[in-house]
Amino acid sequence: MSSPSNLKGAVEALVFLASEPVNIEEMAQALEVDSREVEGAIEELKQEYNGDEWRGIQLDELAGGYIFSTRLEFGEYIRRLHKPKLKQRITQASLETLAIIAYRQPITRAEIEDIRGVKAEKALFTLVKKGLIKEVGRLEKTGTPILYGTTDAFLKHFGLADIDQLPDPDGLRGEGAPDLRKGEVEEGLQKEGN
Amino acid sequence: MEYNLRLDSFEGPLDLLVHLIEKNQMDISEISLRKVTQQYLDYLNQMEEMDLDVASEFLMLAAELVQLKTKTLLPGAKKKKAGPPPEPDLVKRLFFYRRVKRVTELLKQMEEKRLSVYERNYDHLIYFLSRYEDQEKQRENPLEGIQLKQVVSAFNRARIDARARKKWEKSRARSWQELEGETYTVKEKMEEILEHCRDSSQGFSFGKIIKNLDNPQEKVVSFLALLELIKSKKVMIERGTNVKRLIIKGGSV
Repeated sequence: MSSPSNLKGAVEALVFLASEPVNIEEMAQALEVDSREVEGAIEELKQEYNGDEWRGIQLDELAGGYIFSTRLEFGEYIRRLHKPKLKQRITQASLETLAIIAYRQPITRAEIEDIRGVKAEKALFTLVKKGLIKEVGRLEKTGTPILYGTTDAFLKHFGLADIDQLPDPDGLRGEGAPDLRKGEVEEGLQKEGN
Repeated sequence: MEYNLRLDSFEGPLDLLVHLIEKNQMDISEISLRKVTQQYLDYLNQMEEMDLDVASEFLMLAAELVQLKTKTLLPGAKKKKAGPPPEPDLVKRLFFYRRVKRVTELLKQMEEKRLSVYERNYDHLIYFLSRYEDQEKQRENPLEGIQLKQVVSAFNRARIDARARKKWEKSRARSWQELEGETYTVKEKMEEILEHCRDSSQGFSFGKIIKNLDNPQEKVVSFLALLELIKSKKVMIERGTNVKRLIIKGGSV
């Protein structure tokens, strides 16, 4: 096998058939080229697909990979004809819990409840079941509570390429956020690393 | 009925408090907390009047608010203040909570947008193939003509059935235990072995005792009884002509 002479077309073909986001490295391996070349091809494709206003599909960077998706404004027609499985909205309580996890991960249940002022057990259960969050470790503290973090399904649900794309107008993710956690999470994680 | 709608929309006591502060067009501060305390308590009263269970979290925050308010009413408390008073923990929590609410709103908008974006997906294809079948099914309403009352009573019946079934299963489990409940005591078995010793002065093999026992538990208890007898020197063990066979004899060494 050799590398394709028409790299852009090859990358387009690979992404076209994918039902899960494919990442650059996977494609580079299959095409036997440097990942930088794939990146270049992706960049060109992006301009072609996403630049033209009339197009019905776009090249989406999602959860660390690339996938073709339909444009927002045509959603209604797609629902009419294809009747795709309805994407479920997340309930308000779950969404609030999810927001706390997304912006403050890794985080324990007790810390989430501290912030919300209400129990979070049910919301956590739902979110885990939907695959939007998962256990990412244990805090080295009495009871070794579960630390939660977001998943790729979370990124996909909100149309994010990676977690750094989260809009953060108040600096909720940054260090400037008020320290409600009393440094316990960081401490625990450091211990785990040692 | 207006309250009914609003009750559902609060995610917790902090949510309610943020709402009250914003409704009064105040900033989050200790002073505004004190000012909305009465409104907060009124709200809980209304919930109680409507026979809604006021969650303990709401009551806990009510206590916190009242405590905050009491402090400033105490004489002498004000005099000690030098410089700006420290922000109470609750104010910090409210600030943080409001930020969380803001990003929750952002996530909601992102979700809303993404709901109309479709990725090429295997699920869709499967759905496409089966959609006609599903449309047929959707036309028949399985609950047509059934009233809410009927659903409730059916649910209650199912609940009672479930309870009765549990009870029955429990009682069944108990009778099983009674069957398995045969127990053997070491003391009993020791007596039996000693009796054997008295009957046969030449001694006998252990195999002879357990030969006719089916229950493994009884065999084990018998063996334990033998060990106990040897330890207390009430029986002797001799090696018989067959090396593998041990002869048990009464009397001490």
